[in-house]
Amino acid sequence: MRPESYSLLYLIPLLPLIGAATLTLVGARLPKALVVLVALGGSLGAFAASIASTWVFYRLQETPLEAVLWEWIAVGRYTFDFTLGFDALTSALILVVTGVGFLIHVYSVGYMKEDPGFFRYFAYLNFFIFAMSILALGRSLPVMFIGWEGVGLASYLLIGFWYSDPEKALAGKKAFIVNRIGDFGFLIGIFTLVGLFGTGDFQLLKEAAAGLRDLDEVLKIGIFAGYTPRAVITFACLSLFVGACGKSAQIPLYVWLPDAMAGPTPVSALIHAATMVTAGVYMVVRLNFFFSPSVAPIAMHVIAWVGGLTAIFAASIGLAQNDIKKVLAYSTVSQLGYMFLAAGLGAYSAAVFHLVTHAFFKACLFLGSGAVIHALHGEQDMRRMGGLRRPLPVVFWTFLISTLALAGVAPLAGFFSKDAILARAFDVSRPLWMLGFLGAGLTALYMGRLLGLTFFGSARYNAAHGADVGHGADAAHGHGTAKEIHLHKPDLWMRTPLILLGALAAVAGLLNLPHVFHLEGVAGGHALETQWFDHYLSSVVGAPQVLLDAGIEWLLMGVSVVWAVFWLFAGYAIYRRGPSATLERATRSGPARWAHVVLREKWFVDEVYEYVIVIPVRTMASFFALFIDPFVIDGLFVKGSALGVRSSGRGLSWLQTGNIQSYATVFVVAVAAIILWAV
Amino acid sequence: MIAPSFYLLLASVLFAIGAIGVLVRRNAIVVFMCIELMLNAANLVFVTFARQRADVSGHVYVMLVMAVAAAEVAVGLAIIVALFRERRTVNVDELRELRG
Repeated sequence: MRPESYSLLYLIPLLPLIGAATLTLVGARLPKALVVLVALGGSLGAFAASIASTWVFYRLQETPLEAVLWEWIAVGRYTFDFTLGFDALTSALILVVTGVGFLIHVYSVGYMKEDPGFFRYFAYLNFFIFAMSILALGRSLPVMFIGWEGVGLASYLLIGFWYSDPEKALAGKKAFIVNRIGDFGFLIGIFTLVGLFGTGDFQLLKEAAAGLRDLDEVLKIGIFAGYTPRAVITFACLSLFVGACGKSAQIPLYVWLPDAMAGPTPVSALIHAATMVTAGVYMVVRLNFFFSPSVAPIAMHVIAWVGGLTAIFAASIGLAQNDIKKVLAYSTVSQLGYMFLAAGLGAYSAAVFHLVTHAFFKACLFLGSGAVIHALHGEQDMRRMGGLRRPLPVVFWTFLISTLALAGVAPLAGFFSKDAILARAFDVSRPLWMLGFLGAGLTALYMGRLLGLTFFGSARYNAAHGADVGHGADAAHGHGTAKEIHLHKPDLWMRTPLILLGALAAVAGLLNLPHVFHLEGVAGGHALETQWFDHYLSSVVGAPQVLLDAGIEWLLMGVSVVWAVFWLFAGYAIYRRGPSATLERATRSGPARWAHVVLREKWFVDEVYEYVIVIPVRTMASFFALFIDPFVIDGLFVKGSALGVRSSGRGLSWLQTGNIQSYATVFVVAVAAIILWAV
Repeated sequence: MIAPSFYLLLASVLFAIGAIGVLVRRNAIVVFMCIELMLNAANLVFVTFARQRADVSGHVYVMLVMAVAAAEVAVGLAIIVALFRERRTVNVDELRELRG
């Protein structure tokens, strides 16, 4: 379908960019109310423009929209336009980004109220919305890459927002460096595709992919002569997936995301749960004409397995963490694993559907945990929480709904999206389904534990708020060692987004009911609309498939609900009275102790990286700094060349006698010699 | 009529005297006069060949060279006078301020 020109698309990134620029330049001098106005205006404007674009898209019978803003790069026979595009997939992502983004802006007004960096925070947040919308709207790989790097920058700035704390600044640096590794792969992938097809434009790439007659015929011309197109595309897909692993925190590059929790909690909700980290999934789905089991089967296997392993691996770590945000961070890594599992199996719309529902319930969970942390003046350790159900009812209920949604309890959003993924996995690959199914149990277990420790039992925060407090706490909010702490109740700014996101987490599943819900006579004599989201995305990812028969699907759903409820209740039951004494005794010796230590220490992955990568690199850097730099670079090249010039000048200066007659003698003798030689 | 080779020989001798004078004399004025000598040696070659080949352009060049030489004398003597006022000497060996 030829895209329709719709130039107003540029408003979506432009409005938050204006907000970010204004706040950066003059934010320090503006009163707080005006900062709020500019920041919320920028993000609300982007949301409104996204809705308007979706409306136009819908009115044009879902014809893709495009806006060619300018010719960006013209090199030889390659030209790259700065083009924004808008199709069904874009609309799904951009509505989540700007919608959830706006709600989190609202929440942040309450959360960051007392922070001295208020305007700086909102400048970064607006910049993030700008970069993320470029990522979502960019209609070619190079434009997408701008957004990709932009969100990386915003993420770095916001993780290290409280930069005076070296630990937080270090977490920002870690996120940036790990993402650089991924981005290197991403760039290689872009170069490969541009080298093969001569364009980075998704539309043209899709046509080129469709036009490839034989994937296994060896190329004769071009820079990839001697390879088959399938090999080149597989290479490109794997390279791009390295980028996705970095941005979307998959094995082996997930290590930055848990540390990214050093940022303010709303940032964790927006960037490190709902939107930015899903960019990798979006990219894979966007390029589904390459990331497809029929084109690059090897790459797809890798993606599905990395996703499945990440899902269960991260969930296992989440079991033994005591920092409420760390649990949620590992949960995010695990859920992103599910998305890649789906994408790797070719269930693109299931991946995007999980992306959307996950954005709702995980943002809600993070905002809820932020409200808890805020209420307890920066306490993040769940062992020192408890009993918050009564003092924070709004937080508790929205948190409960989102927890049930995450655990996959019907009929909340996460149930439908996770089940779509598991159904597909069950159909295609039983081992992968097993990973996903076990991961779902672990998810329910750690969420039950989190819920029990935080909201049930007796309040442990008063007594424990003593000398050993303060590691990893949100710095701006931690103060004092008062015995009886006064709970900071969330204000209206914070409660509204919680309620809205909680509601979305509850009902978003209706977007894509499984096909077995297509029951006659349920909704007033009509059949329920099923697979609406699959059909909506079909112009991008192809028509939805019905693979399993209804009986098996009902069975799978029933089993997974029982499974989730069982583990959720198990977690709750063990931990509702606080850190379990029985469990503590059980893990004091033997293999249980080892298992606990391994999980608590996150499988020692950070330590392994430390010894295998960080320390060797550091050692090499020190070697260069101590020997190569002073002796070779400084000594040989810099000082050496200066010395060479100086001494040769001094050596030759004796020729410069200043005596005109000696010059003239040389002149005459030389002329005579030339004449004699020439004649 | 005297053969052209004699004129050329004379011109060569004049030129050699001038060149050696420039190289070995210390008095700036003498050096200067030696340059004039070389110029006139060149003039002599010009007229010799003009005459031999019956081509008037050689004469024209002689006029040009004489005019340039006259201008050069004016400037050069002015520099020497100024130099003498400044340094009380016209010995080129003592004027080596540009030594490296």
